[in-house]
Formats: sequence, C-alpha cells, structure tokens
Amino acid sequence: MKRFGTYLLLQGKRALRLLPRTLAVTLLLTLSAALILAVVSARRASDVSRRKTLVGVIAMDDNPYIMMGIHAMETFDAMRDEISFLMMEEEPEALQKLRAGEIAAYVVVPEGFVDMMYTDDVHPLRFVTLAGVTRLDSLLAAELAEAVAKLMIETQNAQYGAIHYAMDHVQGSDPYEADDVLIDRYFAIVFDRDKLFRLETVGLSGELSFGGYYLCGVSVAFLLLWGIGACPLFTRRSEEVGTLLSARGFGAVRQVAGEFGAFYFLMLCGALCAGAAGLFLLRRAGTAVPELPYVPAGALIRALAFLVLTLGSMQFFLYELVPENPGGILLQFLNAAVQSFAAGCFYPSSFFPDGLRRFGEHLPAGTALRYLGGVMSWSGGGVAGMLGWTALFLTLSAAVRRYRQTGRGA
Amino acid sequence: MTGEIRDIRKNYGKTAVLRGVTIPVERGGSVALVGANGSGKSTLLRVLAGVLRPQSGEFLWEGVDLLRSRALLERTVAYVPQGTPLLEELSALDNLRLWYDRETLEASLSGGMLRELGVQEFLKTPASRLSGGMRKRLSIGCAISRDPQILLLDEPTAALDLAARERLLDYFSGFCARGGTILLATHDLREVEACTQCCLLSGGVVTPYEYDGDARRLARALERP
Amino acid sequence: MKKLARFALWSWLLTKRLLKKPAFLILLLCVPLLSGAVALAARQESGTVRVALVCATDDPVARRSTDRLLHPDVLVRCEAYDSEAEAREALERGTVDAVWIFRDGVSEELENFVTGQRTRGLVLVVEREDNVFLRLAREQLAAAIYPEASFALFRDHLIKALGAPEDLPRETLEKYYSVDVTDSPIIVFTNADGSERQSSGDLLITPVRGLLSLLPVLAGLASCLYYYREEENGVYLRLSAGKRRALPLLNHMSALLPVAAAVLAALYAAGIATGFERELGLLLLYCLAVAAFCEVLRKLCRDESRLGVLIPVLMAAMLALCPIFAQLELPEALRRLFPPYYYLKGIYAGRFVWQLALYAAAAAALAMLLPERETMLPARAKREKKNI
Repeated sequence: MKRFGTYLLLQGKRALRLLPRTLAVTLLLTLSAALILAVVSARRASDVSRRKTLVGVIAMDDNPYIMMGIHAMETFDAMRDEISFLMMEEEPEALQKLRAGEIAAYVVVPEGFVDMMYTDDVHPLRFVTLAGVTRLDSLLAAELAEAVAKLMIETQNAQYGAIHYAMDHVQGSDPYEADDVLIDRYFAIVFDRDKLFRLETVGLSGELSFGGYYLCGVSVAFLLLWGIGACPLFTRRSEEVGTLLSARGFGAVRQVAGEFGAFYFLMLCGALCAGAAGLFLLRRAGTAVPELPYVPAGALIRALAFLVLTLGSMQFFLYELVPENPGGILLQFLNAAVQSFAAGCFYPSSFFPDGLRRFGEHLPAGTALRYLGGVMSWSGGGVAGMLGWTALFLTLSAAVRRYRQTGRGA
Repeated sequence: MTGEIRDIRKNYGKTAVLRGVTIPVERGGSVALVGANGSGKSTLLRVLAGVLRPQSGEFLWEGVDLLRSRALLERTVAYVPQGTPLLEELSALDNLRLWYDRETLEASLSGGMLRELGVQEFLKTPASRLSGGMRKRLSIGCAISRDPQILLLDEPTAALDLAARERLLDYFSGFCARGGTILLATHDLREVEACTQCCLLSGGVVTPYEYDGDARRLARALERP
Repeated sequence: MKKLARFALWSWLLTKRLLKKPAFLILLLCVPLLSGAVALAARQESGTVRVALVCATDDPVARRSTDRLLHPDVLVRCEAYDSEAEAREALERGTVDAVWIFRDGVSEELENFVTGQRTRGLVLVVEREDNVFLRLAREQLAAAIYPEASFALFRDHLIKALGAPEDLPRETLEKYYSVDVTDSPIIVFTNADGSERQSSGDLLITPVRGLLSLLPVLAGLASCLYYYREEENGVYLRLSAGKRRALPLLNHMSALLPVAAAVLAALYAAGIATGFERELGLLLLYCLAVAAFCEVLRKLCRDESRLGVLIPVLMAAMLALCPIFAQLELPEALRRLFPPYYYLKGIYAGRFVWQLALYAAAAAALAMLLPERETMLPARAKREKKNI
C-alpha cells in the first residue's frame, strides 16, 4: 500500500508539471467560448443587428397562389425568428450567392408549378443547396416550403372546383365573379392556420430543454477532446520503468491504478476549472439553459467527477492501447469525434435512425450524456453505467499493460 | 598542431558551463575527454558539432574557424550523440539510405567504412530490434556518411558488451590511422587508454592529464576543484 | 536531379516509418470504414420530432387527418397511440416530443374555423417546451388538416356565394373539388451542380467532410510532437543547416499524405466526393497549408507539452469556427486563421482555393521567418545545469 501511495504521488508529480499549462489553456478556451456565446447571444437579442438564415426564392410563375405561399412562409411562426426569404429574379444570381455563402439555399418555383400539379407534366419546386452541405436551418426551410406548397395546391384545387361548379350550375353569371371572394377567404385561413390547434405546454417535468440538452452535449464533447491534451504524459512514458516495477512485484494493476489516479487528477482539475468558468459566464450572459439555476453546484461537481472518471478511463485505455505518436492522438480524436457524433452531442439523437440512436446511447459518451442529462433535469443520474464502463476500461488497461510487459519477454 | 579548440565559453542562462575550454588537436590523434557527470562534456561536443552556439570561442582546423563556416563544419565534423538516434521503425539499411547516396552506400558496404563497422550483418533488421552494440555501430555508420575528418563521440561504448566495445575501439584506431581525428567524451578507462591525449574537464575548464593506468589517481584528479 | 531524388527518398522513408506502425495503418483504414458506416446509417429512416398521435373520435375529418399524418416524413414521425393517457405518459417519459389529440367535435370546430367564428381548435397539441422543431411539426400538422379545411371552405363558398343547396351531397362536392393531383413529389432537392440528392439523412452526412478535414490538422500536430522528440534525440543533427530548415515541413507532409489518402477514400465512401481531380488537387493544397500551419505552431510552442496541451483547444476552436456543423455568427477574421475554413469553402467556391494557396504561402513564409529553438530543450538544459 505504501509503495502504491508513493507511485501515485510520483505519477501525480508528473501530471502536476502539465497542470499549470492545462489550467491556463482551459481557462483560455472557456473564456473564449463564453465570450463567443455572449457575443452571439447579444447579436441574436438585437433585432437590428441579428442575422437570420437567408433562403432565396425565385418565382418564375406569376400565379397569385405563389405569392400567397411566399407570404405564408414569411409569416410562418416557426421560421420567423430563424429564416428570412429573399426574393430573387434569376437563378444565376441565386447560385452565385449560394456559392458565396450569402444564402443558405434557394427555392425555385418553376413556371406552371401549381397548374401542372394536375397533369403528368409535373414541375416540382426545386430546393437547391450546396452538395454535401445541408444545414439544419435550410432543411427546416425545405420542410416548410413543402408544407406551404401543399396548401397552395389545395387552394387552387378549390378555386378550379368553384369555377367549374359556377359554370355548370350558376346560369347567366360570370363564373369568375366570386373568385376574389374565395381567394380572400383562403388567404385568411392560410394565415390563421395556427388556430387549427390549441397549444398546451406542460413544462419540462424531468426532461431536458433544448438548451439543456446542448449544454450536456457540448460538455461531453469537450471532455472527450480534452483527453488529447494529456498526450505528453503518455507518449513520453518509459515502458522499461513499468517492466522493472513488475519485476519487483509492483504489477500492472497497481501501475495502472497509480497512473490513472494522476491522469484523473489532471483531467478533473482542468474540467472543474472549465466548468466553473463556463457556468459563471453562461449565467452572466443569460444564455437560455432553464435548468441551470436549479441544479446545485455540488451536484454539478459530483457529476463532473463521474464524467471525468468514465471518459478519462476510456482515454487512458486508448493511450495504453496506442501510446505512440501520431497513432495515439489520431485514435483519441477519432474516438472523440465518433462517440460525440453517435451519442448526439452535436445533433439531437432523435435525428438519427433508431439503430444508430440505440447504438449511440450505449456508448460511453452516450451513457455520460444520459447521466449528465439526468442530473440537470433532476430525473436521477444513475452512476451504475458510468462505473461499469470505468471498471471495464481500467481492467482492459491493466490487461494490455501486463501483456506488453510479459508478452514481449521483458 | 593541425587544429585547436580555443577558449570555448558556454552559458545556460546565468550559469557558466564552459569557462574557456582550450584543447589542441592533431590530425590522426584522439582526445579522451574525461569529467564527472554533468561537467559539460556533452555540452562541449555539441558546441563543437555546431548544435549549440557558444558565447565565444573558436574551433580552428587547418587555419579555419569551423564554428564560423557552417558548410565546412558539416563536411569536416561528424557527431555521434549519446544514445542512438535512429528512426526506429525503419530497417538499418533504410536508416543508412537517409544519409548515403546509392553508390557511396554500396561502396562503403562492400569494402569501406560500413563494412569495417560490420553493419552489413543486420541490414534488414528494424532499428528497434537491434542490440545496443548494433545500434551504436549503425549510428556511427550514419554519422560518417560524408567521410568526415573529425569524429565527435559521446560515450560511444557505454552499455556495450566487451566484444562490441573492442570492435568499436578497433574501428576508432583504424579511423585515426587513416588520418581522422577523434574527440570522445568518456568514463571508460579502456577508451582513455586507447586515446593519444587525455583531458580533464572540471569546473568548466580543461586541463591536460597524463593517464598512466592508475584509475584511482584519475578519480582523485577529477574530484580536485 | 540528384537533389530531387534525395528529396523523394527522404519523403518516402519518412512516410514509410509511419506506415510501418500497425496502429497508424489500422486507424487510416478505419477512417473510410467509419465514413461509409455513417453513409449507410443516413439512408435509414429517421425523424427529428416524435409525435404521439391520438384519434379519440370517429369524426371523419379527424380520421382522414390522422391517416395523412401517419405517413413517414423527414422531420416529423407520428406514432398512433390508443389513449390520451398513454400518450401523455410517453411525453412525460420523453419517448415522444409532442402529443396531438383529436377529440370529439372536430368537424364542428372546423366549420367554425372556415366561417371565421371562434374556435377551440381541432387538435389539442401538448408539448414540454417550445422550440423551432416543434413549431415546424405544428406546421406539418396544419398541412395535414388543411385539405379538410380547404374542402369545408369550398363547400361553404359554394353554398353562400354560388347558391348551392346545403344538402348538396358530398359526392357532388368531391366531383368538383377532387382533381387528379399528381403523386409525384412536390419538391425535389438538388445540389448546386444540378445533381439530385436525398433529403433525408443529409444531416448525418453533412458534417462528415468537416470532421474529415480536421484529421490532417491533427496528423500534422501529432507529427510536430513526433518531430520534437526526434530532434531532442538528435536524429537529424547530421543534416546540414539548410536542409534542416526544410525538414520539418517534409516531416509533417509525410504524416499528412497518408491521412489525406484516407480522407479521400472516406469522401468516396460517404458518397460526398465531388470529382477525383478536384478533390485530390484541393486535398494536396490543403495538406501544404496544414503543414505550414503546424510548422508555425511548432516554432511558436517550442516544446511537446505546450503543443500537446494546445491541441484540444485548436480542435475545439476549429469545430466552432469552421463550417462543420453550423455557421455560427463569429468574426470572419477568426475563421480565417484555420486552414479547414478555406478547404471547406473551397469545395464550392473557386476563390477560396486561391485563398487557400495564399494562406499556405503566407504560413510557410512565417514558419521560415520564425526562429528555430536551440536543439537542446530547455528542460534538458535545466537537467544539465543541475548536474554541473
């Protein structure tokens, strides 16, 4: 036990040499991120300086329902805060703006779009984005365009029906006479379509808000990336020392425990520093995470301790597996990127197909995300999964270490 | 006297490591540089190799200060540091290919200096799997690709077995016999014996020493301030 | 010619030593495999907003509306629930994001709506919070109910404006209202180059190129760490001063080129490559820019631990600043510090390719101007000092 304590202390000293730099860089990163968040929040709060996503619209048809549809899209409640539509004359202009990044996408309403919906010669709407770049907001705009297009088609449907009825049944009058009245009534119900439902908001009641979800996602992704910064600890390590220790009875398990303890200490210091600075600045910036004021500091610290334990043990194992450059660092990044993505740190996991979502939930990052989400939403963050992963990774680390020390005949 | 290491001074921060080191060197001669651990032997060799810049001093060779003529320094001097800096994943042959062109390499392997070093025995083996002696031979082999006149060696036979050590010492003798000059930092008495000159480095200065085979006397001389 | 041959030999040998590391090779092979896996996953059905749909009535309007809603959609997935209680419980558990309930009286409320009278709404929408996805989902709901509203308004107009009898049979109304609207898609998604694409799953694929663009940067930074170590061990001491100036860039490229090859393969595996020559040319230019960028950092940081600690910061900064997941409203000047910005923009806009070339040249020039540290590391020098 005494030897273990000494080894832990020595490894801690090694880690301490990295600590000042780690803390300095952590603070720098957190301050920069918080500053950026504050700037972005301030910009979004100001109506004047705010920039919504621009989607171009090229209407090649002068059908009045086209204009109705465009007005409908512009007044659409969901998109009003996010997207603005820019009327354009020609497609080349739109293409140029798209390539320059001035607009996120553009919609082409071709000539005869509404009329041709009743024929075999269909001229569908074209929603154009850059290849391989579909931003969330432009995808939402596409959905909206499709929804509104359906409205336009139904409306014209009704208009034609009324005209034909008038032709067949109303003698001696102009069948188009009542057309204006009909169009006005349709415009009215299109713009009042939110009256079709009654909205009841029950509150979060144990589930995370959107902002809360993203805070958890960013935190987990941050911790996953952070492990890369510890690479000097691992890539500089002498394997001969470990072999020598083993020969003297201080085996792989105790070595791993000692080294992981030091690594954990380093990572936890950095994470606490980043967490404290980040939360303070988030609160100051008034960023919308409704759960935050209600979660006690102690609970967050405890959560962070468990997160670093689990994700740190995974990173430790990966370094044990591939300790050298550049493979070690690439592996850490690939692991961070894949797990963050699959667990839903960058996009809500509800985006994903069921199979991928289930896979992501069971990854260490997914477990960590669910745990942190549970803490934030007071729905109970069970640590069993976290501890299970930790135990697995540390066991594997010791196994790999032992294999290296004995398998090579050292 | 073909050359002279003259009044080399080197500081690390405020600490003076070398306080005016002067050593005469002869073509075909060999100088053993002996000193306690941390006395500045490696520093001196690095300065002479052009790796570190001294505060002042000259490395004169045939009337030219090599420290002020980079190109000449690189052609004239080969430095073999402590340890064996090799690209571990590559084979011995690949490591040599970094420093030799094809014709020179073939010539050297078939009847030149590399053959003398015996590296042809393990050409295909990755550097990471070579023994200490082999690594040292390979390291020297890489260093001498430009056919240098001066070899700077930092503890060249440290951690080598007897046979490997003797083989290297034979090589050094041959090098000097062909007109090369060696300056080696060492703790090994066998190497000291093999050299034509011995210098003690202590307190940042060098003093000549006549080694007579009495190791204790040498040790006491090193302890004296 | 001889110099070129030496250069080529060094390039090959420096690359070869990395390729001889099994872990590195395996990781390179994993990159296109992972990319292909994402592409496969993207083809499956997915939805952002999960809605519990309850039709607690036999009202025909409600029935027809729910039938429309149960068809799969890109962003909204509706699942039928038998009772309101079950659906609310699912909302509470977080299994669904919203509950839409059709109760009795839907037709009456519809009538009120189209005639401009007060209405309690046709559907009760229950949500936990308001966000843009749920608002869009409500728009889909409106689009599903709208045909009913449109038909009702049509009937009302015929009666009030065209004198149709109130008991006009539904079949007659449908004869006039119902026209063969095409089954073809109303909207098609195309790329700027005119090629068609799938709309669903794009969000999974979108960040792939951006994430792949970070791999060369990481490889370059890792090679800097590698170079620090080799320099410290004296591997390159034998090189002339002139050659040693160019060596770091060559060293970085030896790591970047295999990674770039893996990235190229990954782009094809994900199905997002735009054209072989274009992708290859841009990647090579990108590698040069990354090598120069990493070399600047290597000279500024001067030792392994400083650079190592900085790596996650740089990765996080690039994730936030470069157009990988989203285009945040951040100063352009910050974005332009990093090579992935130019690469990702350069795929679609030629002027960014020129800017990337300029960036590479500027970074290389800066790297050359920055002084090299003395080969003895400060830490080692301190150790030596202590021993003196």
